[in-house]
Amino acid sequence: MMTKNKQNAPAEELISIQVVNAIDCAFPTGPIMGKWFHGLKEKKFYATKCPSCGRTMTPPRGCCALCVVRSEEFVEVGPKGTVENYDIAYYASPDPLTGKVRSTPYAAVFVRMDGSERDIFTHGIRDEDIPKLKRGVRVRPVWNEIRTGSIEDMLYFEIDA
Amino acid sequence: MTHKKNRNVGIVGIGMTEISSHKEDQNQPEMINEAVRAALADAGITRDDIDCVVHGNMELFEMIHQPDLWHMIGTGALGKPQFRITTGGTTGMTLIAAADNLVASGMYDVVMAIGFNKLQEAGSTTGGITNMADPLWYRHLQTGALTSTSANLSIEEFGKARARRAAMKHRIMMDKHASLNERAHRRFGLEYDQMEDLMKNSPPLIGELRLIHMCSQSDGACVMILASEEKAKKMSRKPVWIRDHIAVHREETASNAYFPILSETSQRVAARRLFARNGIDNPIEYFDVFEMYDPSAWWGIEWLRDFFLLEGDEAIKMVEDGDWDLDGKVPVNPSGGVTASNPISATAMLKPAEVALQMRGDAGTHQLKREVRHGLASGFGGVMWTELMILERDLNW
Amino acid sequence: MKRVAICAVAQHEIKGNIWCKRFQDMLLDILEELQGETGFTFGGEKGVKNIITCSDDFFDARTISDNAVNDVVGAGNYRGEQKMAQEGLNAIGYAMAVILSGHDDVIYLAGHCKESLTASRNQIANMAYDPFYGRCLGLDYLNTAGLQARAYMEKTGITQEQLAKVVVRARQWASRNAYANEKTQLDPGDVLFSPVLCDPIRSLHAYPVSDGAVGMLLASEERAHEFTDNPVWITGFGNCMDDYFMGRRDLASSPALKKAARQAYQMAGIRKPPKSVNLVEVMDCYAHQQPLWLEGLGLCDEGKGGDFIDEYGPARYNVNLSGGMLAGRPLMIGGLYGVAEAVLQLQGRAGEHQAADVSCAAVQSTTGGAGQFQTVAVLER
Repeated sequence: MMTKNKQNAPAEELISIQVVNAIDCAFPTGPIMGKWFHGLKEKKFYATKCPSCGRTMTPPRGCCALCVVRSEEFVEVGPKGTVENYDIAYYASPDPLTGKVRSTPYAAVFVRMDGSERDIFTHGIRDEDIPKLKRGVRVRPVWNEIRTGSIEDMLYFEIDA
Repeated sequence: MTHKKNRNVGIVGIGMTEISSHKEDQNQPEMINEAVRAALADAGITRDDIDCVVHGNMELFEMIHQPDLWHMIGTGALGKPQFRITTGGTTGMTLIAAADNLVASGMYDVVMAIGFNKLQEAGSTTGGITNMADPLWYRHLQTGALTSTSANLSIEEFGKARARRAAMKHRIMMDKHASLNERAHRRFGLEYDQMEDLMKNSPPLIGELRLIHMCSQSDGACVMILASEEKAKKMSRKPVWIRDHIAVHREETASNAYFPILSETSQRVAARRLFARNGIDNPIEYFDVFEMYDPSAWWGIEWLRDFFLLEGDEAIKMVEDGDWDLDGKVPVNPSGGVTASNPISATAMLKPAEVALQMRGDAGTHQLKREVRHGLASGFGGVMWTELMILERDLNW
Repeated sequence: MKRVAICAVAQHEIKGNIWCKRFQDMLLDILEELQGETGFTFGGEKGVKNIITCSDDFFDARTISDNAVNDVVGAGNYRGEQKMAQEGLNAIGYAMAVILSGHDDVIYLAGHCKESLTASRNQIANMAYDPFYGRCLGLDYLNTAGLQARAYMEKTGITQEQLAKVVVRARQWASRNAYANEKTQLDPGDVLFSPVLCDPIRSLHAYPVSDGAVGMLLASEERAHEFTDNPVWITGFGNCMDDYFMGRRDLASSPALKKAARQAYQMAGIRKPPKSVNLVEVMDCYAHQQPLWLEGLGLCDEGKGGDFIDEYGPARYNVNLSGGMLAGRPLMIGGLYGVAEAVLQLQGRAGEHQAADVSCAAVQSTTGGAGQFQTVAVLER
């Protein structure tokens, strides 16, 4: 039932082809995420609210996964939040697109934004704040000076002393 | 109340390649073909007896679009019906569940399920997994499949020392099991007295998650052949029966799945529903073996509590008392689990395969001493999704 | 054998580039339409517990592409979901098996594909070929179709004029289908003199780049009446894999399609397809494939595709009254849209393009270069 690799043929040089496959993509944001990115440009967090269970979702989703209903009512949430949990990375995998490796440690925080407590929003945390990370700590966003309507409009969170 | 299945389905053939890293002397269809031939030989049948092939993998890992088209030269699907079903990391088990559905339906009598993975083709697992994240925002932040968030919670619940020791004990136990399994990919020969040393010196990856806790990256293929009850009894002396299976998914936003936003894990919901509808009141008493898809030792100990519907520190106490060991109350992962072997798209198929081997008495050097009549196998993947399957040695439910 | 019904279908309007919506948004529209029509719910005793989706990781540029839609297909709240990673018609056969197995008695099925998401669908198709030989040659579904078209023209003598008729007719029917993509009416001359895309395939012979989504509710015979008074029964299903290497195949014929069709007809108890089948949806990505697939389905004599067109064969069998693939459908759900059309026709709800006395439909789809993998389903009232 179990096989072993057959190596009966005389040793040969194995040929392997190294290639980088790249396909250009254009991802539409759709109206919901589109509005969210506009909000980030203005240093605002928008969430959508589920008409059934009432939870607000950040980033906003057009459909509440729990209730499976259209959720298009926008509310402003945050900008501060509470750290529910966090991940401090000591080992960085190479970025699949650039091959670059981030310097470590870096950390991701999982945040309950004020007004969106039944949902978790993820982003990074300022490197200097990593030693102070604890569940329950308060954070606020640090905005990029140049904002174009993308996730990079927010640089990371920092601890809200 | 038992699930009303149209007809029973038995596992009649199991075939695997060696599970190792960087299989550079084979291409994808060659590797698959090896496992296909092994499964056919195990079942004592030929390609002609196969009514339908089911194939699956996460195609961006091997970077082949619709890979079943090329792989047909190795799968033996020429001129045959074929389906391709994928569900992320749970794919391996989904393929068995799908094959079970296809045979049970009456549409096909003998179905061959093919799971495989050749990770070296795409560079790294983490790269492939990162592509799972929403490209508009999460992809820029995600750290792949690694997280320490549940470990943080376990430490809060049980205290640093106790939690860390339990995770490490489980990890060493997995390696001890793997060491008896000649088919396992990684076997380090760990001993329990290395616990303190490993807890201190194994390189940390993320938070409490250390290198030693994490699953491997493996290449390999696993093929299983399922048949209707009538044919299974004719074909095999010891068909292993698939009693029932369930899939439980979570919402897309990965971060929500890590925490008690929804009140329960998919593992617990899967176990509760599956056991309830099969009249299993006491899973600890009922099952003779549990092959759990444990991507890390931390999740391993945390999910044991959920899968067996335990509370508080019951599961962790069982870790401490050796109750999950090969001679314990419920042996867990006699194969060594996912930390030992992880050909991702096939990993979840190795779980029912191992259970079936144990039931047939064909597990060789790591055959359990106890009689194995009732088995449980789990799959993990996607965003904290769970697949759970009950296998039976005899048709007596 | 018990029967499985398609209770209702919902189609998203097909367009070349639905830039203003993500595919999740499209699927939400579909879900609402279906729930509105059937009243189906999720979870609990009577609701949908398992969902089957259909999508492709390459087209979505997303690993585990089904994860992206879990929320919007109702799987995100502790339910099960399985993804068909082949053309969507196969999901019909698989869903049928799930229901016949007894595992579920109602399934929500949702497929999506946005060809516009990636810069080149041909580039994606090229990735279907092995990295050492086929891919390096630059094979994709367009040039393999070109090779096939050449072989078919040699064998059957089908003319450019006859192929032009196929395209002109497709556009005529598309103009009566609210969901169709390309409705611009054509003269035969437009097709005859359209720029050569991949000889002998001209640009107007090829299906336009398309975005779309389709959803349907399937149920066991016992439960179908809860959702519709007008169930459509899946009476036959078959699929079949042909050889990967083009050189070993007879491109001008389709043994895989014949075998898939035979399986489907046999299951449906159809001994003489030309007598029983009165509506057809074929996945004609390229004009020559319409007569070629009709030959494979046993509705056109072998090698007689050209004559078949001149003798109004497609009209006789109500072929592609939706406009078919030629009017534009995304690759991964071309067959699923065909099912949607067939269901509406069988239910008498095809409006402006309704055919008379439709009782038995054959739907065909294909995956892979030059139709390497073929799928056929038979649907009846």
